[in-house]
Amino acid sequence: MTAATIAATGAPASTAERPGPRLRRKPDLLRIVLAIWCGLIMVILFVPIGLVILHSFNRGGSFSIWSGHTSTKWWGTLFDGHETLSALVLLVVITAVGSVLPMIVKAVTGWRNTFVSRWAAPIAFLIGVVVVGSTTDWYRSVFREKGIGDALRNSFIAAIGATAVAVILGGLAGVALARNAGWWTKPFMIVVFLILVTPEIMDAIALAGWFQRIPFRLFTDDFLGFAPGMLSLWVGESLYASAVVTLIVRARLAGIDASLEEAAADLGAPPGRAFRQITLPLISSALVAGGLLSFTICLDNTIIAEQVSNAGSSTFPVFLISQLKSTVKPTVGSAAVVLFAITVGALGFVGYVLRRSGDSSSQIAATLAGG
Amino acid sequence: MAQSIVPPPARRRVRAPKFALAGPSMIWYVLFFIVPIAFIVVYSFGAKDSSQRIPVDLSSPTFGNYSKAFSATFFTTFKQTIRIAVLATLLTVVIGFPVAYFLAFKVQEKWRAILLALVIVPSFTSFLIRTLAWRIPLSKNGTLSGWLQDWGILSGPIDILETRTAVQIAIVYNYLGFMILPLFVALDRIEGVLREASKDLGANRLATFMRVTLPLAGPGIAAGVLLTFIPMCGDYVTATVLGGAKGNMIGALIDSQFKGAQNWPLGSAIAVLMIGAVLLVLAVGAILVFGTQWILRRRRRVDISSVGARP
Repeated sequence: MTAATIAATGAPASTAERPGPRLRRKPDLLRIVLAIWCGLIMVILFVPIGLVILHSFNRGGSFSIWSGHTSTKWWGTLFDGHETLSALVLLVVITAVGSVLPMIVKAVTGWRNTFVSRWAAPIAFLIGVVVVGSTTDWYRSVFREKGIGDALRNSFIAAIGATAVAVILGGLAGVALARNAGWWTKPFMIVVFLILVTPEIMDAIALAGWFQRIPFRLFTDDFLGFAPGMLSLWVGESLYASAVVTLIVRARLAGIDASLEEAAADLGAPPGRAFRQITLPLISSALVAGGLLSFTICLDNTIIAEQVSNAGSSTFPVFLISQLKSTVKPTVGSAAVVLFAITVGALGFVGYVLRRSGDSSSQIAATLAGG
Repeated sequence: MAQSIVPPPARRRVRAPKFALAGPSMIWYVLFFIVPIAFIVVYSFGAKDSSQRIPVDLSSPTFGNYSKAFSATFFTTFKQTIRIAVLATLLTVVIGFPVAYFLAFKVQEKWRAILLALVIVPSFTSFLIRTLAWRIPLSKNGTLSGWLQDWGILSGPIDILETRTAVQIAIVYNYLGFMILPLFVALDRIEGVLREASKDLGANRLATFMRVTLPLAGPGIAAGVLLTFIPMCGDYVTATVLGGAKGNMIGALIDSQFKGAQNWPLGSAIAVLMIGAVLLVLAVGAILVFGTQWILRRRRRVDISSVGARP
């Protein structure tokens, strides 16, 4: 009680008095020391990444020994530049035209539709993907080098599938945790927490053994045309990712009280419709953020992928591990830079989405640190 | 007001149980997390039998794998793993805490966002590639090695690749971000009012830090330790990429039992022991921390009943 009153009465007084003396105070030495320390750590955090980028332009034949000269020859080895460029240009043009089209129509004829103008850009992008995919065969030819190209492709397929699973499972579970808490909440959260902290090698060996036991050779043969092992990768990588999405969605909904959903129910909306029209828009930013985060996590999942993937479905990290015994080529660096760019893009978008939905940078950090 | 609206009495629908939406997750986690790990525990009591598709013979349960896991070679790796992980956790706290403190208290909001991004981006960049990148500065014939010799700092080339030192350096680097983030979150949630109050009551900076900020940051430190120490113990990438034979860690050992030696029972036993060792270390750490806190609290206890009585 006393502490509370002192805090309540003391704080405003002290903040009110503060501006005066602070101007005359000598520079905060602690702050300067901490700033230097922080700067140093930031530099160290980026040094290895900088080295990877630098060494992807290494002219020599080894990733880890710098030859003294830069060259883009290993980028040329990885990518088929011509094919990729033409596909990319086509995609950008279709997306741009599609996004602008509603505005032109509006300017010329005066017709407009909120739905069309809102979704024009994503739809145009999707059409672009389909057109580019069906006309240019870039998917097969973008990577010139077979081993690393297949590995990168597998990485993306595995990460996309696992993310889809994680977003669906995590989204539903997050809503249930925030809105329908009950006796089950505690045991469920314990399992989620265990998934987050269990050393990955434990999950990896457990799943590798378990998939052998599942009947119908579901996890050992090819699945719906995907290489054998891809289904295992989806399941294996989805575990951690779905736990992350669960926490993010739960945190998002916990901050919004349930009155909107209750209002919808009072107005006669059946549960399914209330979920679709009220809850889903509320958690959409959390789903996008969680999904992108899952994607970056799945993209560089090494340990589970190493145990559960097959020869035909080995992902980029698995490929890289297998290369360690011999000399690692700078092509690996080029692929790493591509993955790095994707990660930065995804994280940037996560930040943008969360910020737009009203989070401060501190809240974003809390989200990324696991709630 | 709620009274005036009479709900339509017709068709009372069967309500789904409250956890229905979490149902798919529950099935998923039971099927692909709990049951598989339970099987690992079961396997650890079996015997190796390469003739089957799952090379485990469970007909005569034994503790043999556990006694084998305690044999000299495995036990050395165990000790080394725990040593690396404990040291790395302490180092990440010591290195990361000032950074988190600076971000939480000493920086303006607009800079904070940028600096946080600079912590987050490397942390979420591929773990394997970041580890592999350490081979560049640490390599014997590398540029850094040459510079250090030219400047006379080292007499011979850097020779720490394939040793425990290399693993130690890289593991601290790899997990630093995952320590800074929870620390920052915990420090950021401390209300400025409490620190102000401490100052106004006459505490100097050190006392404020030791008696207000640090105890309130406790949950963040605990979260950071959990998020770094446990994965470190199972870390298999860092040791595989940089450790060689001398810097082996338990995660790589488990992997080799499953993938190379096909000795699932022994690998399972080592994995179970690893979890046990992790829990033991965490328990010892928790007892140490809570013990010191308890002693300090007893020594510092102030009787506030008389203070509170005054108007």
